[in-house]
Amino acid sequence: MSHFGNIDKHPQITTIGGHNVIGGLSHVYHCNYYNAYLQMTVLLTQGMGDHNPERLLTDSVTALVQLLKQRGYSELDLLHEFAYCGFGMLQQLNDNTWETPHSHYGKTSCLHSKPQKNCYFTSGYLQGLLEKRVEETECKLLGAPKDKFMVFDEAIKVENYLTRTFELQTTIPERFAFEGCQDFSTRVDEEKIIAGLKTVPLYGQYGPDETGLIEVFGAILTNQFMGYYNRVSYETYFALRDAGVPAADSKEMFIQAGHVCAFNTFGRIMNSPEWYNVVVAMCETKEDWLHSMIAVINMLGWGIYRVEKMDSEQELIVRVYNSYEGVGFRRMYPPTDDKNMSFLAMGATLGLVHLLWKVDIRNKPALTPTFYVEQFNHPDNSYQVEQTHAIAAGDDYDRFIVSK
Amino acid sequence: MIEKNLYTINMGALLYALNTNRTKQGLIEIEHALIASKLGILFALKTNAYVNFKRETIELNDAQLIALHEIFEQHFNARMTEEIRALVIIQESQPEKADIHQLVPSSRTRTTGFFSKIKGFLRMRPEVQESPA
Repeated sequence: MSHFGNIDKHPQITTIGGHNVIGGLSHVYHCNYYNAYLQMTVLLTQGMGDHNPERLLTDSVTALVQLLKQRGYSELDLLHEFAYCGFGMLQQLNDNTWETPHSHYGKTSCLHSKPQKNCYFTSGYLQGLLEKRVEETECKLLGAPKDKFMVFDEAIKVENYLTRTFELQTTIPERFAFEGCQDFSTRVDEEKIIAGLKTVPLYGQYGPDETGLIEVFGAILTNQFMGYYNRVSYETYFALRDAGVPAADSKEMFIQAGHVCAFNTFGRIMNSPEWYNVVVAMCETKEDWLHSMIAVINMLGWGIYRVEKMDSEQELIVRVYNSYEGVGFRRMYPPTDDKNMSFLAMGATLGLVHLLWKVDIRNKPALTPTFYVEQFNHPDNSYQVEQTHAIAAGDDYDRFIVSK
Repeated sequence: MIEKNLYTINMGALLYALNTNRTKQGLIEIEHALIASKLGILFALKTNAYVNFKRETIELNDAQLIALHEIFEQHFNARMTEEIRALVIIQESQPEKADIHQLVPSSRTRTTGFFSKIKGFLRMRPEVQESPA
């Protein structure tokens, strides 16, 4: 039975504990800015002994596509899913060549060196689909009209890395209804926000005239495999640590990627017509805006965010149940002693606070790189973030304190 | 014991110079904090030594200065020879205990130092190329 068998060619999506599961694998929404920044961070380790970041970026998705095939995905299902999740349109030219006229990773790069081929993810996806080694030969980022991929007559060997069992938590407390939670008073209706924003098409379309991209809120989104993000992030982090880079420096780029993500994704959502149509009427204060954005985050597959405390302009404490980084870590590695391991969530919660208490997104600033550098990420009036609880370290939830 | 050159560099000026170099080439400016973070990681991976590039000034030896120059070229698309030459303050030669791999005479240290190594980069090209005979 096809996984994309219905009329709309949409896959079956199961939402459980804040995870959006497609084909048995959790997916999370992120924007092109985050994806480009994360890929840049992973590629910092180029030329570092046995660690091969290009292979990491490629093979990490190959293993996931192989899992989907084991679960009954056909080739057509995989082509549909590639487009549905916003990666672009895959087309076969002949036995040895594929191309993407439009692709997420061929569109944006955050590298500061000479431009280079960028579509490691697409190569890896094709590898899983074809069970053969694939390399990108032409990339739009280098001026080519389309990204092109060569298929080599060479079988691939990629190991599954989701080797540990870790179940999602299903008994998650309701909003504002758990021990230790502040007594909040807000008109923000989380269900209404979710219902309103569900009308936004957060998927790409497969077809000859389609791009297979998700272009919304002034950004380009992907509904990426959770396992992919976790694999490339943590393997890079461990490689940096093994090479002697201090923990704080090794984490910083990943946390900063979350901060960039908040600025671009949250910021653009909070500047969007959809936000103004659905959300703003419920909001009287900056704190209402924070509660509202937390409601949106709970749609993204990042887990369930629950605000524990909010002291205006001073401190925000958030718990995250089933955080995708914590769950992902436990599905790959044994528990760690380090509590500060959910890098994306640390940067994102810090960024969320900066959007309201530092730059005030309600004034609709243009979210330009200059604005990011000169105001949003400027050290003046900045907050700091600390993770006190971590699923990766055996806790029931992640917990973050953002404070002055 | 051998002698090694030590160079002091003001990081603010260096990062400003890097962005100036990039913008002259039509490349985008990069946030100073991001440059410093990337430099910290790339430098550690390349040299097995950690330097905090977020500080106001840094001190590097010859080999480290060469490594920094290479990182700028490879990872930031900027050949920073002139800028580094203009910004470094050369301290007096510092005696330093060397391990067996660093045992080179001081005179050789000087000829293989940063400015010697980059001499080729500074050679001016003639404006009009001579035609082959």
